[in-house]
Amino acid sequence: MRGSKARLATIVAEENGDGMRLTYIYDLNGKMRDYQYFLLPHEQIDSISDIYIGALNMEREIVDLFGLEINGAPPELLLVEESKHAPLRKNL
Amino acid sequence: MSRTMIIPFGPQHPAFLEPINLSLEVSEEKVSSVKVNIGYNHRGMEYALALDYKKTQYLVERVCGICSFHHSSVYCQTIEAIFGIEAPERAQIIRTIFMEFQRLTSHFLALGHVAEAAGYESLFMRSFAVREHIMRLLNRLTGSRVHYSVNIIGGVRTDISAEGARDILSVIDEIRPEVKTLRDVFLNDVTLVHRLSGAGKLTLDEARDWCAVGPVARASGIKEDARLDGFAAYGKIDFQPIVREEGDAFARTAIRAEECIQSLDLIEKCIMIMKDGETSAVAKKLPAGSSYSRVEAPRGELVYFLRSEEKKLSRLKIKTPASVNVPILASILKNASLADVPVIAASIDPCICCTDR
Repeated sequence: MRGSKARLATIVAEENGDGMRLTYIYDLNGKMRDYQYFLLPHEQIDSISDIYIGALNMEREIVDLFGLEINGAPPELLLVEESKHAPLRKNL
Repeated sequence: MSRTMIIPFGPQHPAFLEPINLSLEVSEEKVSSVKVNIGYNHRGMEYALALDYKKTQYLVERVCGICSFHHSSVYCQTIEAIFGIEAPERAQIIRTIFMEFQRLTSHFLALGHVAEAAGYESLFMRSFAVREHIMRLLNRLTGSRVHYSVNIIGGVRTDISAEGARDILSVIDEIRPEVKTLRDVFLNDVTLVHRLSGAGKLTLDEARDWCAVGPVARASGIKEDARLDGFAAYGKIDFQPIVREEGDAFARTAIRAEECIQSLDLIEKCIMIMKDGETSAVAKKLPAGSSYSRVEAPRGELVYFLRSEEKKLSRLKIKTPASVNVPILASILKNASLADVPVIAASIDPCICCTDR
């Protein structure tokens, strides 16, 4: 997508049973497109911030709010160590 | 031998209205690196907004005070898609009018702060004086200066009467000369141009890497504007985004100044095409489904994603333009003079309540 000059608009994280669903929404030539990925419980993924620098804070937000482990995206963007862990997870 | 020191800029700082911390590593008055620390204003809005989709119509405006109507518009747009309904044409036009008015108030706030950061106090005052005319008009039309509470699921709950339309056109006629004068000052004042040109440069490639949106992206040559999608009434009125190539604080400021004139024109076009009709469609039981939608808030693309189970929301995700534009400070402040930090930061038009939610 980066090669076609698509812009990463946002990454939406949601619970999907015990796992997670990640929806990557792009703007490609003015049209919005989305790609969904399903993660198993405790599955780790790699950050795409080496492709889109702007993705880093999107991923760090998901790490904070959902407790997902993303390699290369450290926690404590919006929350601090004392905060409730993964506040948007209901099934954790 | 030069000494390096870390200067904390914020979270309390006269140049910032809201709490954000820029940890500046400075050597001989030049910024060598920046760490942007956010989260001071995180309120858990995505959690709160997903609790009751009816109350969210009004709570969603409280995500931000300066683009509140855009938040409620895109929320209603997105949930209307799940309901399978469309707001009537008159409601779409009314939404467009209020979105453009809010763009005006936001841009004048941003322009005023850039002027203040550059030491141009009288320009700051005049920007806010024009803004006050618009805020008073909005108060007469909706009963509120900031959170208009106009949007409902299915349309709008506040109509614009014939008298209100005349009031709008009268205020536009009254402020247009001053808006043009201020635009000319921002674009041509020698001191201001010299102060802003070359400051905080963001190249086109960097803007793409950072996923920049809004005037920040358009100032770096990216011709993107969610209004080109044609949502609300934008598909019925002629509109082209304003783009510049310089990528610096001057370009970002110039785009906002030009967009103020454009907003006045768009509001007039909306009044001209507005016909009598319904202002809301009926939305009954919320079905299960998901949707996402976007609008062009004053700072850029604002995206809402919703997923619903029967009668309630299970997920509400907000992507604000400031959440992608504010981190860019880590790049554009590098090698800047310490004295230029407030001006460059103001030119990004940071909205921390949108960034942190």
